[in-house]
Amino acid sequence: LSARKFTDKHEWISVANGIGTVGITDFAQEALGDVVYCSLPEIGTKLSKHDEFGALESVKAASELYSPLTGEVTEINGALADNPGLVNKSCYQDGWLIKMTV
Amino acid sequence: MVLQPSLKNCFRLSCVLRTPKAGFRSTASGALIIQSVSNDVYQNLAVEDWIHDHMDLEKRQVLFLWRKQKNIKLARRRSGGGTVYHDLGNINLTFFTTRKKYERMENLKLVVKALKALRPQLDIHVTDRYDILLDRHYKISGTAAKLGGTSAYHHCTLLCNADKFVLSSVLKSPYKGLKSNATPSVPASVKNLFEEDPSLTSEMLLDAIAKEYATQHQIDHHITLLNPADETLLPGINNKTKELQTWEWVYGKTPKFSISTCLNMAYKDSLLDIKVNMDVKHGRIEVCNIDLPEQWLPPALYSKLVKSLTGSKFCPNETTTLVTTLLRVCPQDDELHSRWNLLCENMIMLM
Repeated sequence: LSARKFTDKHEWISVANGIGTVGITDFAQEALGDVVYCSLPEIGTKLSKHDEFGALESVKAASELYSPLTGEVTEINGALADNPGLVNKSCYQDGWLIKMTV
Repeated sequence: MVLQPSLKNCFRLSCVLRTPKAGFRSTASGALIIQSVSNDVYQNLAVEDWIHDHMDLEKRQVLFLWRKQKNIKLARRRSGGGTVYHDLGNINLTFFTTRKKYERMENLKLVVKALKALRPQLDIHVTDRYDILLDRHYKISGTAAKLGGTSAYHHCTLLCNADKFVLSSVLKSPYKGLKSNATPSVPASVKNLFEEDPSLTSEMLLDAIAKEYATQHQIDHHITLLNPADETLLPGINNKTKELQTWEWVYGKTPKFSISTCLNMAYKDSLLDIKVNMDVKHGRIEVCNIDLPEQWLPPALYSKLVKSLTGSKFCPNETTTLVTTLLRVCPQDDELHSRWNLLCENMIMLM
């Protein structure tokens, strides 16, 4: 069972077998309102800790996302393209954003 | 209208921008009001980016006032939300704060208070959607925002004296058969404040809002003029301005959409109904299907066309270049050339 770690911004990361899954906290999704669009990086993008890796858009507000650790993006949550609301409904499970090597 | 900021103002601004903790006699540390001397949309959006990235908003919040000139340029802003039409009669206000102090409602209430102080008879209020309505019905302001790690900005517009005719024709989408996951636009009736009270000007509104902001932040009612092209004052600003104009930013960030439509082409004695389906992602054509009658174009040529379009920009200029190049390697056959041109003209008109 991997522990979920929280950044001092609004992201969490949960690491298992060298791969970290990144998402935003319940507090963050609540503050954002209904997410209507997720702007996520391409697979293979190299990120340093604290790098901006994308943004979540709710109606009329775009909120930046910051990488909790250094690594490379291995997967992005394809379900969010058609269903961005998953970030609000299930921010710790189905609403994950990216996976990265750590 | 380009005013040169005085040397004194430049000095103060550069100090403020570089060492925000430096104590200033007249600007108390609470806040700063800046007005752009430029009406260029890209330069002003670049200033927003610059302030967002470089200024320490913990000690000093900022109000940035600006307007955009009339020749219609397309710009993508970094905050969310829908399309806005701007000319000099539609002003912009950007409220910069730390992320913790991000408060759109408070900002809009400030604007309403300023307007009411100027013209007490105005019936204006803020809605849940962060719009400002005149006479309970007409939208005079819309809002968008960007939240960063530690800083945030909320910008909004104010319709003073914009050209409503151009506004509604420009905001109308010509595309039929376009599907995407974009948030549906909420149309609204609009009105200029000038129509309600012809004595009002954009300058008066900007000034009234600056005055209210100054009162609420307990600072001097002083507006510092800013030249958004000044690289000394704002290191890196010209790069930001350039980036905002690149195809990659303006069009290349477009979320996935698909077009499913019919080209109605009159060719010789017949009327052709050609079904076209395209999937476009990040401004590039991912999938392209053109339902031509069999042998209308030689199959080899058709497949060359589709292959070339796939992966290229959904852009009339790029497509024109592409099809012109392809035509050069075609046999000199007038019939073929005229069919090709007809089809390509229609395809380009879709973009």
